[in-house]
Amino acid sequence: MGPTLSLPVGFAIFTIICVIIQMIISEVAWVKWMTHLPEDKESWSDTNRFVIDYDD
Amino acid sequence: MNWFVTIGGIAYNLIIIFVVYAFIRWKQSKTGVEDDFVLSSRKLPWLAVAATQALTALGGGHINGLAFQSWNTGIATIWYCIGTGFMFIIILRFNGIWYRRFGCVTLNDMFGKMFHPILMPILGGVGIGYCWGILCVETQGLATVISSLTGLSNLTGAIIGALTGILYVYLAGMKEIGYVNIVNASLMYLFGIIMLVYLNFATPEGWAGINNNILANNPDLLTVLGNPEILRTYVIGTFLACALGLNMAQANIQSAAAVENVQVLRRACTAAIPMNVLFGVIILGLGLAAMALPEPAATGNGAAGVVVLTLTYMPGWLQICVIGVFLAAMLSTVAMVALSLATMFNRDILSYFPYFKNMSPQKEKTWSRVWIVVGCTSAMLGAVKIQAAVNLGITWLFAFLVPLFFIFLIGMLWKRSGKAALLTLGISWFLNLVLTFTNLASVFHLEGNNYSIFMIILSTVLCFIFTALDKNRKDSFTKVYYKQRAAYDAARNAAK
Repeated sequence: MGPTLSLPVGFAIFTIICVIIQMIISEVAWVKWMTHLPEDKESWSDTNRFVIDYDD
Repeated sequence: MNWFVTIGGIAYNLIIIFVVYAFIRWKQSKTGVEDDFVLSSRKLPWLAVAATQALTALGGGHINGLAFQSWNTGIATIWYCIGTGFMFIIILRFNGIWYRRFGCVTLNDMFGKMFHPILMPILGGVGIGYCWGILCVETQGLATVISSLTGLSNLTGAIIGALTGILYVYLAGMKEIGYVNIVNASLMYLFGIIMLVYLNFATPEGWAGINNNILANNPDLLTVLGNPEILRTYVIGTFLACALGLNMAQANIQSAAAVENVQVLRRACTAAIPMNVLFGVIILGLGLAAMALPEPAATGNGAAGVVVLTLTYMPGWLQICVIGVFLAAMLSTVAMVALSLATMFNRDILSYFPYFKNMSPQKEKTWSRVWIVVGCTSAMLGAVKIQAAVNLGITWLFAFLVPLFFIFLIGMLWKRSGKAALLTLGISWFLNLVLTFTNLASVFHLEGNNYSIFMIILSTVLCFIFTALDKNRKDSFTKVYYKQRAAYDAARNAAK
């Protein structure tokens, strides 16, 4: 099932295409789907950062 | 016996470990600051996070497992790697992002705070058991390679493998793992590609002959989806299990907590995907080449076949490098899994005892090292005893983690219920034990990959139903987060 690929070149090209698609999905997820919050850029060493209080 | 190659392969890893350790010590002596053992003071660079994500997921399952599986499912085996690529997207675009925002060190702590405190020690105990099982499997992989090359007993091979794995993490913890992984990831590709090219010239008819041999004898092995049987029994289940089942393993996610801020994870994700997935091309290419060539084919399985292929067709220096790379892939997983075992034991179990509560970084480092040594040495002995049950054991271990992602997803985006989480986990884990240790799985046709799909559907449905039935369910955790963030911002603005 699916196209027949030669080893190792055709197989490598197919996998590289799959990897590029995954990298694009990953970037789309970052840009379009994720909620970006101010604390995402804050340094962990900053003592004045927001810390969630779990006791809701 | 190939003592020269074995000693060379182990020396290859020891040299990298000690050179990186010397580099870390040199940098520490210049800055005067020693980063903490567990999280590298949350300063791990994106490349180290990417390499650690990629190499933790790339262990014995890739080296021995994919090579072995390639003889049955051919290049369709790559869906295992592509599924792992989606696991990185889920970890570094969702789970890991929130885990990092909450500032948690263990996933069990996050579940305890999201759903119910009792989940922390329960999940800690299960997580430690899972890590120990993975350590057994990886140590066994190391033992198999070492003993097949040297003729040494499995126990001796496991001792050598475990000792090298301990060194990988013992010296400098997370920082050592991250930096060694960067070096290993680069060398893995370098030597893997050299070997693929070299095979073209070292074998009688090169890659054309290998392709023709496979096309003549089993053409399905060179098609992307195999045949309907391979698609049904391997591709779908493996892809789903890799993408959805393993993103809640502490070892896979701990490096996401070791970064300065969430922005670092953006680059790490983009790099981790090719680092991990493309290595599948090298291993599967070698596995299928081993099947098409007479000497390695005589071994009867892909894992042993790849070792014989290396020893038969490669020059001495390349043999050492390739065996070194295979060992490094397994050692990187041993190191990260051992560190996550120690982290969970310290933070989720021992923290209930006054002596271990709020440990100083130095004390945590000492005790982490103790648990790393205890975990690896006991796994080394376990690895020798449980050989016959490896594949079943892996499926069984993975099934313990499968429900966690769906419970987390529902709790983050819809509603949270501690009772629903506990009931879902209890029932899923009970069924996992019953189906594994009786013949019921085969009665209901739930063997192999169908089992992973069954656990995914079961845990999702159970958690939805139990959460819907719980009248005391709480708001989603994202809602709580945004509410508290708004209150924090309002107070800060008022103070200005």
